[in-house]
Amino acid sequence: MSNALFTKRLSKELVDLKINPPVGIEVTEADTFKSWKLTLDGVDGTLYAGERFTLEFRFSPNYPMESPEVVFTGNIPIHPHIYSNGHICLNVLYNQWSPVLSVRSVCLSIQSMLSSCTCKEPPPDNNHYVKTAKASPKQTQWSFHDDSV
Amino acid sequence: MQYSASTTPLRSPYMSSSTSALHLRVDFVSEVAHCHINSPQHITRQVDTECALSELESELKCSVCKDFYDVPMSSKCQHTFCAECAKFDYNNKKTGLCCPTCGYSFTSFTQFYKNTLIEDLIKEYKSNRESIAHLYALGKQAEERECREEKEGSIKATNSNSNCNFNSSPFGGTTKSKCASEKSIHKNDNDGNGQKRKRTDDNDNKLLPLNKNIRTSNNQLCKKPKIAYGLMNEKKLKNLLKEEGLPAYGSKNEMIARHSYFINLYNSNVDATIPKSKGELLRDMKKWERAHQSNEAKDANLIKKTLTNSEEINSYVISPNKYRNQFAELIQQAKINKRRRETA
Repeated sequence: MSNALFTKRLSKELVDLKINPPVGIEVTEADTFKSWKLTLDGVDGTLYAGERFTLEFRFSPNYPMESPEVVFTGNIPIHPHIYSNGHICLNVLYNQWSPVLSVRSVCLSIQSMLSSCTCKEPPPDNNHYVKTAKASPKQTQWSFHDDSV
Repeated sequence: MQYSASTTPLRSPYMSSSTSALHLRVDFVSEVAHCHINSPQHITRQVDTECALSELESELKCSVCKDFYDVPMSSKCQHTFCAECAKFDYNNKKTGLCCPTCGYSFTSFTQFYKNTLIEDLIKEYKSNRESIAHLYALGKQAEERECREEKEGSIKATNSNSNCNFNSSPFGGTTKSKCASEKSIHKNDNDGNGQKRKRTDDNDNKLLPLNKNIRTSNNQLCKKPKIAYGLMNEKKLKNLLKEEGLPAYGSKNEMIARHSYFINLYNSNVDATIPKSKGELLRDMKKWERAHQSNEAKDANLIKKTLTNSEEINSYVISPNKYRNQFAELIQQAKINKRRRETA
């Protein structure tokens, strides 16, 4: 059952992203329903203007009931909520996930998180986290404290 | 274009097993094929209507499976999901069941009820989708033509172009279809990031139901309970009326009628998109009072009239003897006429 929903939902999202892409977001690699790669452009007038980042989405067959794994790959933005291994500290990706959210809305959330940044610096516990973190950010116990983004 | 790449996920291991996935493959490919086979100009038009209709369709689609509602079930918080999608078993919520859109928590799925209105709407829409798209295209063409004419006619060509897009569109926000799809994300953005984007489509009528939801959930207006008037004496009734600022005179029945009318008015006002103030409600009450009094007088007259009328009718039916002589005369005249005609 969830299999049918999973593929149906993802194909719809893909078509939607292709036909009507949000500004600065482009699907570059979507060969399977397991993982997609999207590029995210820094918004003009922000600290990340002119930069291009790659986001990797990994879906489990329980998507959209379960959140996708979202990490930055390659060029990783320096941001107080993004660790240098690409893990993102964003509540909608973990405990605040809801099935009405989509790849598009997650991308927009991340874009907005980048845009609202006022100073480019890594998270305070970056070194420790990167050493101890598991491969999947979903295995981390996140605590969300910054409501300003 | 990236489309050629996007067809490849169909070979994913998740799909090969189930039959419904096969069906989906056809569906998906045909959707993509739309954009491939046609000429480039065709594509833009296709995409255009798709976009505009998608604004309409997004209202008829489940936000979990992104497809038309299959057995739409609505919840108390005004959000609708397919019956299947409403059984969301996502396990990252600590507080048990809650609405994926607004987080309203439920105690059980029995609090969902079937929304037949939406089901009928979808049925109707699906069967008329072609003609709706056609009408839309026609409207768009007419709009473009108007724009062009206006452009040619006026000296301030640039100004008119920017204005007419918003004024002469028969379909509301055709040029804003992109904003509209973004709008759904406004709704979804839990962390409020979406608020950063400027709402260009504040005038859009479609936003109204959204606002309404926000209002009803945040507003302190509560419905008043129904009252068992039978248990009340006149003094209590008078106090009740005074509490609401209503006149407390007349017989017990009049007071009950007044109070129950007010409660009805008040409760329906709670559900209104733009609720009236209490002063306005009281003014409405005064109007009702006046109409009610005059109605009573009118009713009395009407009843008298109908009564007298019925007496007349009864007199015709019950006492035909009264007109026996006249009938006899008429019959005789008819007979004489008949005889005359026969002899002639």
